[in-house]
Amino acid sequence: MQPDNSQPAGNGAAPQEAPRQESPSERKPFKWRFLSSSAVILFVTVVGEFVGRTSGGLGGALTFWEGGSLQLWMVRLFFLCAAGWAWTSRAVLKRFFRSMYTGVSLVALSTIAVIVGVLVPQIDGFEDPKQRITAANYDEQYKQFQWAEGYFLYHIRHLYGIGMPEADISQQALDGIDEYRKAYSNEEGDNVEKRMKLAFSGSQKTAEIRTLLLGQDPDAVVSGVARRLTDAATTSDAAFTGTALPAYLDQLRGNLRAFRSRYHRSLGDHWRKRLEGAETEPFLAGEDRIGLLAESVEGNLRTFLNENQAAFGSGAAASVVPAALELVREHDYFGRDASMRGFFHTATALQLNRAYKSAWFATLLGLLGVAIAMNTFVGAPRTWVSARRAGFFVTHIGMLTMLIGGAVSKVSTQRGILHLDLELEPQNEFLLHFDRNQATELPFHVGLDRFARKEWVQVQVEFPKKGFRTKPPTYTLWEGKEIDLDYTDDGKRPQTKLVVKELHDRARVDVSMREAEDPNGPGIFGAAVQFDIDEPTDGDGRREYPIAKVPGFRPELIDTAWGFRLQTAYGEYDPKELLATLPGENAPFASLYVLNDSAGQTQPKPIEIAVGGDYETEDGYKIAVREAVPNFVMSPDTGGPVKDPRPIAEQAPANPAVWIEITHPSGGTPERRLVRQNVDAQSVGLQSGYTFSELMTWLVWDTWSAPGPPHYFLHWGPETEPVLMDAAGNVTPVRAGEPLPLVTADGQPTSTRVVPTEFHRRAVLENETEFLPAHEVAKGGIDEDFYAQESRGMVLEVISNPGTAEESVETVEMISDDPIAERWRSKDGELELLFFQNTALLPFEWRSVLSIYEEGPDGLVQVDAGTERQREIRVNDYFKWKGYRFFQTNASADFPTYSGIGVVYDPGIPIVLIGMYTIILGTVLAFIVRPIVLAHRKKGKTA
Amino acid sequence: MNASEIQAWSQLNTSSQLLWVSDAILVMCAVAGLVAAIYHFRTKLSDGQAGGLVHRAPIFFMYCAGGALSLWTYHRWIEVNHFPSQTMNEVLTMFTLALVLSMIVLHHALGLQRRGPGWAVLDDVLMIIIAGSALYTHVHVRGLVTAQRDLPPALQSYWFPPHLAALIFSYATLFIAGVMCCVYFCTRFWTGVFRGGYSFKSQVLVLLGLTIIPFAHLFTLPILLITSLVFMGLAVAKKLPEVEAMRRLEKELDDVSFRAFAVGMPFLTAGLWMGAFWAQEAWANYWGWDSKENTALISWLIYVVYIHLRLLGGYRGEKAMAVLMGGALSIFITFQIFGYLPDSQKSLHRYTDDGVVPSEGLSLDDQQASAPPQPVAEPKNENENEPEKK
Repeated sequence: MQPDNSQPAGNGAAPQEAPRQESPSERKPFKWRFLSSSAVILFVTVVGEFVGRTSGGLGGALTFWEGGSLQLWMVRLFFLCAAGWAWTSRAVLKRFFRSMYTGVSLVALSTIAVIVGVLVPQIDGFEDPKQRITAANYDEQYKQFQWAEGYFLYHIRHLYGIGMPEADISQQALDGIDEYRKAYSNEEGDNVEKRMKLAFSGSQKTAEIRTLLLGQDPDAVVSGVARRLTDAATTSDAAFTGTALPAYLDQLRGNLRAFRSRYHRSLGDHWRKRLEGAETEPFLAGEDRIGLLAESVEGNLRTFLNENQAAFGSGAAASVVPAALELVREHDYFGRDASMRGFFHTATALQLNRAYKSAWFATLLGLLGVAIAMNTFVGAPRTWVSARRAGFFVTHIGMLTMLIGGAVSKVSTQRGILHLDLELEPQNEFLLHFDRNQATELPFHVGLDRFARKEWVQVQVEFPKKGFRTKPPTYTLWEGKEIDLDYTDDGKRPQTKLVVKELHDRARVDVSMREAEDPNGPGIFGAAVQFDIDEPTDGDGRREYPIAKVPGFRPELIDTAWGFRLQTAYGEYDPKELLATLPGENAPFASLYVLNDSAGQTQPKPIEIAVGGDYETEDGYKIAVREAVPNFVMSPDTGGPVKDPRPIAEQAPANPAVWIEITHPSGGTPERRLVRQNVDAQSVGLQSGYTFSELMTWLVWDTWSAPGPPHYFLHWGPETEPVLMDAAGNVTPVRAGEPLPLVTADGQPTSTRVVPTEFHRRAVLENETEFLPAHEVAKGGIDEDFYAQESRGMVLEVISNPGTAEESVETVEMISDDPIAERWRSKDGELELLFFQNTALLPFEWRSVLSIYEEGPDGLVQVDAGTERQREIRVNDYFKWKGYRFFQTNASADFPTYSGIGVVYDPGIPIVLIGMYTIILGTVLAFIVRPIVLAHRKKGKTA
Repeated sequence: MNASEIQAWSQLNTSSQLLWVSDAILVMCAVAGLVAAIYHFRTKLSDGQAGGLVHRAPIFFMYCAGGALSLWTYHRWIEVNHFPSQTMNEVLTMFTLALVLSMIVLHHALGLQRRGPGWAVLDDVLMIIIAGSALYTHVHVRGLVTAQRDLPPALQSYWFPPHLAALIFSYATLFIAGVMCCVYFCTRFWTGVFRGGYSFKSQVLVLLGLTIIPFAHLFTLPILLITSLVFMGLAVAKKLPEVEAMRRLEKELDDVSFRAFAVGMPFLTAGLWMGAFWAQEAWANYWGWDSKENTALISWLIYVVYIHLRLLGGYRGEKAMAVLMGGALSIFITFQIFGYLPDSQKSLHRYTDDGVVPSEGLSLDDQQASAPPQPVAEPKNENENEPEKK
């Protein structure tokens, strides 16, 4: 695309050089202009799309050695003819592609193509070249398309936010925020206010978009009709206003809603049938439907008026019926559903909703590539790298390389996900495009050696006495972080300042317990027992650790190997009295905590539940508990839960879950919901997808009351020596230092050994925090601390009245995940801090260490694929093996041993990247180096 | 700044204080620009002839604003513990820094003051517009959530600062190039209105271009309004520009705006493809056809069209300048209007939105299609046509 080769254009181009070898009749060759060259390009694009559809892509047409259908051979013949024509008319082609008009048209049309792809929502999974809209996925795909396009149209209709809902925050809430400002600074308070506004207007906006797309709920019609009926009624007879009228209105509401959803459903059915290629009857338009609706409403209304003549008198029909029908007719039941579905269908037919993977787009980029190639290598090679042209040349070489790399990517990319789990064997099968039906084999096996998720450490700052209704704020911490709090009334000075002095990745609390020397001395909290536990680990090993239990406060000791359950009890009474506290046959096995957001509740209320039970919440939701599993595991193959065949009592409650059915107070279809103890539906984003999203539910499995291994009591009193009692009431004396004689349900000694080391009657606690040194990172090794998953530690300075004469500093050591050391409360009880690893946020990072295995004669053999550091993957650091790239993609808070690894095989990547680097280089040469060099030369000449 | 805010000045962290300081400087810059413009217009003096305080004040204040905003970057970096471009609040403040820096670069690179008296006025006007835009952006920024946000894993990359910095700088420079063209078209329109000399058709076309394009209004309408006031003033003073002068201006401004473009284009290119390098490292996918990537590509392609039209097609003057304005609009859409685009909800580039948890390399469908997320298979809604609430 050099000026000297292009058509004369505008006011500055060089004259046209006549092609010498052409016949005299062609001496005045056709002048390409924008319109003509665009038309040619569009035509070729259409042909490309057609060829792509018939042959299943260029690859299908070119692999002629694989045979094929008659259709495919026709395509090949077409290609042959086209190639022959191109060769004979190469001069014409050259002139076409070297015209400035063609080049600019190509870039402009490519731009328009990308714009089309931006404005038309792309189908879900368009990255998969095989993904199409089918009757099976139509509903799901259309739903996404409809939402995305509706969202866009809504904002276009409300340019600059004109007419958009505005948040209206109550004065009470604003006053609350003012107090909050004083406690946490103006900035925090402002942010709370801004977020409240955003959330409020956000939900309003969602509702308006729904109305735009699907029409309005007909409730407004019903209340309008109700008003007219009440106005016309001459009686306030209780039988009429209490029963007959509401019954009629309910019926009307039901009819209108059914009408509305029937319309949307039949519209969907209509388009789905068309996708299947089935015969469709002409679709009844909305206006015609309303006519039918009005007829039926009129019939019902007249019947109602007739039946209640006593209430209305005879003349009411004449005034009420037309008014009611007008309301019914004028309501918008349909929204933009019909036109949107038509648009979706057109976009599908033209492949506009998978634009970037379509044959027409590939053709367009192919033409662009040809044009670039034909214009780059123009003139004598030695001029290509001259100061004047180097930038141009390098940029275009880069573009060409990038397009070639893109083409290589297009035909050879494999992209998918490999599900690995620390507890599973190495895998060699990954799912292309995240699709379970497209499992593909790797030429080797991949194992997961390590996986961890490391959280941000945060401090939650609470002023318990101020009674704020909002959640207390949390602050991410780093060394040197300062937090100003609790401002003076004039807002000028913070009265408390927190300064983070040290942060440690590994920390622990050593708690030592001893019997008080002075029975009335300070710090005595009562009875306690210390144990040494020796239990089996998941592997073949065993693990020993000490633990203390306090009767009355977290008294249970539950065996992790699920062989026994022990409760400690203290007091001067007969231990047999404890037997009455054992759970009965159908005792509740869990607590379901329920909170209705929209009803303004702030504290979740517990409901004790058992399978088969029916319960009702405070505000009338009915909850039926259908099924419960102590150990919910999902199958990676089916996506459904894997049923553990063992009885519930034998399954350790590692991941408890219940299925419940929730029915709205007003009735209707119940929502079936899976509630898991280890998953907070809100923080993982599930809540908003629930039908009754206002109702939040949490599960707490009762490890003591639920079916499980045998119960035991360990009892002692001020004067009573310790005894162990089983559920049958058999009492055995025990002594400190000797293992408890615990047996499992089938009479075997438990695999976990429990040795009480000391029984206390007046125990005193001594807490000692300890910060462990960071692990040294060896060369080629990995950061062990990341995988350690230990408690984190912090040294914090709490400064009172900073910057004043009364300034005082208290140094606080806090340790996360420890029920005592994670909290700190000021002496006056005003300020309370919680130091924790925030799992509700995106983590600081995920990391996995992979290993590679090849199949040997005796099974899998691990291959040396580099050091652990080289095999470690992070979000911005992948691992490559035999052309396959593995990167950290998926993780799930519910399945801590699971790591989803993205797999990409794409030989085009290095080519594309080289192309991009070259483009940058070329641009720098053209826009920065060239003017400098030219200016320098000019200076040289003039000097 | 109301009374309670002044009272709470001590409560503001250093970066917020610096933002107010930069606002004060920008106001002074705009005032100095206005004074300089009037001075240059009246004395018909340009650089070399007049080296006085009035002449140098605007650029001096620009430097000061650049300094204040650079300090802002430094302090905000400390306050949030990472490169401050994680929230829209931070990105937009970085953008105003970039605006000020590109204005300084262009002031020297284009050498407008040296070109002649009229050009010195243009330079002053640009200073006023840039200071005004930065001020306006700061007002908008204060309405956004200012809380510190942690970097999600994907943003913890060495590409984060250069990718953002290159793009934001190029956006600022190309925005200024667009503003120049906008100033030209407005001036030309009012010249046509007050003195004639342009065909009715072209006048209508210019007016439509300046008024009907959505989102462009934010810039075209204020400039149209301000130029109208200036022209009324000139009409009263009987100093309306000649049509001939406008035609000369067209040629020269085309050249000047091209130079501004030439400063921004390498940065836009580098920023765009650096994003691809980063995506390659984070998601092993150099190009995911994500909405943000696409809109950025569209801007780049528009500039590619511009340079080919200008250098090969010989398109100069109004036609080329119109394309340049189109590029600036596309950049504005990429930068600020992006969140309204249909597929933006699925985008992986939504880090700056408040309250949105970016899906980190996983698009929504991936989460649904792959194990191990939710197994509940039954339809959860009786009306299947309802879109999901997001």
